[in-house]
Amino acid sequence: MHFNRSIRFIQLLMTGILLTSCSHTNSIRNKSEVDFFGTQKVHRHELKNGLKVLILEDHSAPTFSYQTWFKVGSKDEQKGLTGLAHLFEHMMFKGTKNLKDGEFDRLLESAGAEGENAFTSNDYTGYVQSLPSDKLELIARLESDRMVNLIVDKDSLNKEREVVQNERRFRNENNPDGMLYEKLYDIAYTKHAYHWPVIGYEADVNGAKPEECDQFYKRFYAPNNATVVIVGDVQPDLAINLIDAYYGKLPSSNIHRTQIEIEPVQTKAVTKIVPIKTQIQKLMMAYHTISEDNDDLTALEVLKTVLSTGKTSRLNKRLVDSGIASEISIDNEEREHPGLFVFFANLQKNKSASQAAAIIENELKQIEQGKTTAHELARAASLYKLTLFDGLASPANKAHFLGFYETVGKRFERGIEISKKISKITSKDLARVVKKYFKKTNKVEIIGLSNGGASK
Amino acid sequence: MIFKLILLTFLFSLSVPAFCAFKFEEDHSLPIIYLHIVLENGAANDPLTKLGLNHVSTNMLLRGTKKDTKNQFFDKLNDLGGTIDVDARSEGTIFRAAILSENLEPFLNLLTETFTEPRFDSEELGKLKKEVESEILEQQGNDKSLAVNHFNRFYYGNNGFGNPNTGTRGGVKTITSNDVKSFYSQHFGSKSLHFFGTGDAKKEQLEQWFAHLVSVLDEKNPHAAVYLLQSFNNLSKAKKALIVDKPNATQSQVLVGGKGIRPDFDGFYSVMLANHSFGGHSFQARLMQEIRVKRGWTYGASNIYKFGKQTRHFMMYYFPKTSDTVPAIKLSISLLEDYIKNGITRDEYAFAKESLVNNAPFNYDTPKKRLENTTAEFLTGFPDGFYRDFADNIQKVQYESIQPALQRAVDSQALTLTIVGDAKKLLPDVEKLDGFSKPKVVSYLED
Repeated sequence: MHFNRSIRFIQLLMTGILLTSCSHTNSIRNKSEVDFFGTQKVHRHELKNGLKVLILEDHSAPTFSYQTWFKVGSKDEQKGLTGLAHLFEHMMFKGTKNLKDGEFDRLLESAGAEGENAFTSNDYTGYVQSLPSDKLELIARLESDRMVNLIVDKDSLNKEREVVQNERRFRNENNPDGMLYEKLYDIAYTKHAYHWPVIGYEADVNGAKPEECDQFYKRFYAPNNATVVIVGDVQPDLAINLIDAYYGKLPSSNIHRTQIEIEPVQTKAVTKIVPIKTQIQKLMMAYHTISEDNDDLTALEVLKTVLSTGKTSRLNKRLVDSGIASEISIDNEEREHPGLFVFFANLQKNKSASQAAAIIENELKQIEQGKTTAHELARAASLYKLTLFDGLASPANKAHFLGFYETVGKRFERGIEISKKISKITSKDLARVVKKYFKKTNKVEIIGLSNGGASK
Repeated sequence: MIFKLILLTFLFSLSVPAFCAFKFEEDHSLPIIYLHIVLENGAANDPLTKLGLNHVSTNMLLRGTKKDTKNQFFDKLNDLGGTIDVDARSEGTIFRAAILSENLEPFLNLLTETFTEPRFDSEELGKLKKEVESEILEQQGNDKSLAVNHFNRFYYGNNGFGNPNTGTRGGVKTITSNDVKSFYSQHFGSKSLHFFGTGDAKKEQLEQWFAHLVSVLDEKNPHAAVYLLQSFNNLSKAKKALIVDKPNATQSQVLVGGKGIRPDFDGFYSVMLANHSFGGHSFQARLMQEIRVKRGWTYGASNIYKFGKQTRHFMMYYFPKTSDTVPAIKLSISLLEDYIKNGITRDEYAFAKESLVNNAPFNYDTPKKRLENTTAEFLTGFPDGFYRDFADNIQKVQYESIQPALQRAVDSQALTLTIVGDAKKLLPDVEKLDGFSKPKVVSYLED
């Protein structure tokens, strides 16, 4: 019965395509061609219902990547209903008015889908898959259907919340790094919605009701809150016609975003100890910084590279080479609202996190005094370039770059701008951003200790 | 000037020895080059008293050259926009390098020094050993990694395939400068080094460079060779269980497996197709449907085949909460038994075939993926083009061949079970598992 229903749906949609194909240009509001890296061009379209579409041709293989980015994440949730964005990401693979539960995956898998997956962050939710080039119509049909026709029923919600609880046990509860991250945001944000974990609190996930999920869906899953990115072996004109045919008639939504509380300026440093089950200590040290659209982002990116990229970066020398840590890394968060600059170190046996923290602070002081050399800056630019090109080595990676910056940075050109500015950053820029953001009062320190023992 | 050029061309017109594998795919779409220099030696060759020798010794090559200290070496490398890392595996070790194409030549010179003039500084060895020891301790926090390491050691016993790739704390401690130098002279020569690459460069340039590299190494290490692994036939034919005790863990990592297969197994592709329906990367697979979708007991569930030059193992993997652990184990074993006895349905067969065949372009759709596949084919001893031809071979599988192939390939009476979790809560029920010997319990802190 379900099968017949889906066949009828396909027939109806095919009729719909014929009708809308003739008049596709009516639902396209804007279109333009924008330079990407090298000689590549991105075709940018916006439909009248607000759906943004980015298409990049790449005929190196008979495949394409198709990604749908929604501008909704855990920051759009409310206290007591945390984890809804992520739980909903799971629910998006359930049945719709036109497809029975499980049919979405089944159709895509039999079509040869690769990397069919989804992800939720604080700011966005993405649905991704790559397919052989002749399957564009299939994915446009399936993705446009679940954008507006999902059914949230109690049974499937109950099963999926169990799966999510297992994911939470795996990523957070039984994972030292996950536990430290959860504590970091818990302390760094006292008012702002970045306070709670993306996966949500156990009680909230258990308590989520089908009608609350449904409201969340109707509020945020709409063409005017989404960007479709297609990269690969497609013809841009044919692709936009298909997108127009399947998405052009979807209604836009009046998206009410809850006012998100601004995080008050932190006035004193905070340190917390988290008990973990390893015999080495872990340090997570973070400073409040900026939102993605701030011009200082590029200088912070160079600061991150100078400090931690490559074996002879400053902190690799001072921490790893000196025998204090076995690993040091930095996350310069690019978020819609002010994020964190996070240092993460795994200590060596019998070495203390507080020792590592003091060394990091000392290096920051050196940089604040303008002691970054031209050599370090040139090396940072080369390493940044290598990381960038390595990160664009497949259609899926290019699609991710486009989707991320179009969603979080408002336009994907933002990502290209950042890459172009990297080589222009000076030691004075680094000194200025360190002075501005890396104040002691702006610091949150989380120390992972075996069984919560005392830090040396 | 012209004479000089001709002389240079003559001097450097070396060819790669026939027993060295060399492949380079030109790809000029991005200004970047990826190189894999593959050493035909891995952790499985480590002596039992020095577990970690391969990992430590190969990493010591990146700790400076005769000309440069480690820091000077990495300064030069990073200035060029290059990276190099070591990926030490069971049967082989990959030096993975990447470089912006504009800096290829100085980068290759640096690599030549890396391989032919290693510094082997004893102070650096001391630092590296401490780093490795701390990394091993850090892994105690990673339950999946703990489970895989313990499964391998429990399944293979004292055979080299049970050796952890990074070694053990006890093994790493015993490694001396002489061990590292001796390892280098025994292994680094044309007979054991191979080259695979892709990117924005001319194949001839890389070929010349690699031929030059191995010729210098052969002069330096005339006795370098490939050391074959001992074969193993003494694996347990019974069901055995191990609990790696992590007190108060709220979730268990579960691995249940047994003897695997290789492409020379008659019915290899029949088993691969069937496994897609049983525990492949598919939401329709039985393990995923029964353990995750219907019951919500785990976030992921799969059945993975580990390949190598010798027949290795398969293992079912899932991670339920503590109270669902034993029910999930019972369910997965009964699913396995049914799968072996009855095979898969015609619908499952048709779906798996269609999915795998349609997915085939993704086995080789980017140059980087083709590079990884070429390296994997080499290290596992799989035929050239295994990944490229995979779909054609799956297409040829007949439904009738599946069930007999499964019966020959999988023995549900010889299973190894490894659980990382709270032993106090798990033990009473694990002890009651049908046909398993009394579970062995070890602490997660054990080396």
